[in-house]
Amino acid sequence: MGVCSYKRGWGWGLTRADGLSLHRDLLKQAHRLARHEPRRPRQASLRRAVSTARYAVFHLMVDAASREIVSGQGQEPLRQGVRRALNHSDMKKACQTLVNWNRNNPSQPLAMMMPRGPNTAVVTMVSAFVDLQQARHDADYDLSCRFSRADAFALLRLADGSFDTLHGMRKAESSRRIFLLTLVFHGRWKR
Amino acid sequence: MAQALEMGFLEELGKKLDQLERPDWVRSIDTVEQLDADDELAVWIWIVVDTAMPPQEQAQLELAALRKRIRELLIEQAPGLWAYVRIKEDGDGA
Repeated sequence: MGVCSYKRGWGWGLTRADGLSLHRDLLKQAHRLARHEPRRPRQASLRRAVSTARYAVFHLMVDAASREIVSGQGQEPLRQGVRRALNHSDMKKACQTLVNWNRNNPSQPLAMMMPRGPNTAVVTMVSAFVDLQQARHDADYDLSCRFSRADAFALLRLADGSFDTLHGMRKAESSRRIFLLTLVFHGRWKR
Repeated sequence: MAQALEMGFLEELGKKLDQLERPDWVRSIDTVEQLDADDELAVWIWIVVDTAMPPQEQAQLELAALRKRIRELLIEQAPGLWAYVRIKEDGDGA
């Protein structure tokens, strides 16, 4: 971590205030970038908008998962430990398991926890995460593809939808809790 | 390891996608099979739009509705297959 950390103790270079609002700030920044250059948007702006939207959703989910596992004030170092245990690839696999839920052969032990499978809210969030993960990869590495503003806006809409959906769920709602714990533990549950 | 899709699958899917209700300014809906960032086989569904689209706010509502119809079709026709739904302007390479 070290080099990017300007305030020790919180990791990822975040102050408490920053850590609490990073995902929201990233989403706002993504919208600003997508609207930059109103007439002829530069690929750099659109690509950074898409990539930033993807990071906004990643940090939204990481933050919510860490708060689900470690609640209460004064527990930031512990929550930080949870955040660091999460990684993009495992989260994507967890999301794909949920979005590709097969009612005839459901994934265990998730099926025991959610016998009816993921609900619409969870499917909305996991679909957006998987879409944005690939779009982020294209935006950052694939120079052969060209992003249109309509595409960037559509991807931002997915990110907005993830925020609205997660914030619209009650914290005690079991589907929300199972979803967040799946992001962290899915890889280990499959062992 | 990724496995190839059945012969003719994309063609059939393409025909069904073509039959979906869509705005006039959506020129076509194209499908491409390729590996994604995790080396998993996936399908890209490109909504090809006219450069003369309605204002973004209106266009995005209609695109979101079309995306929903595409997802519903995929769940019905190809459960378990992941498809990335993206938008490009007519004439853009992708």
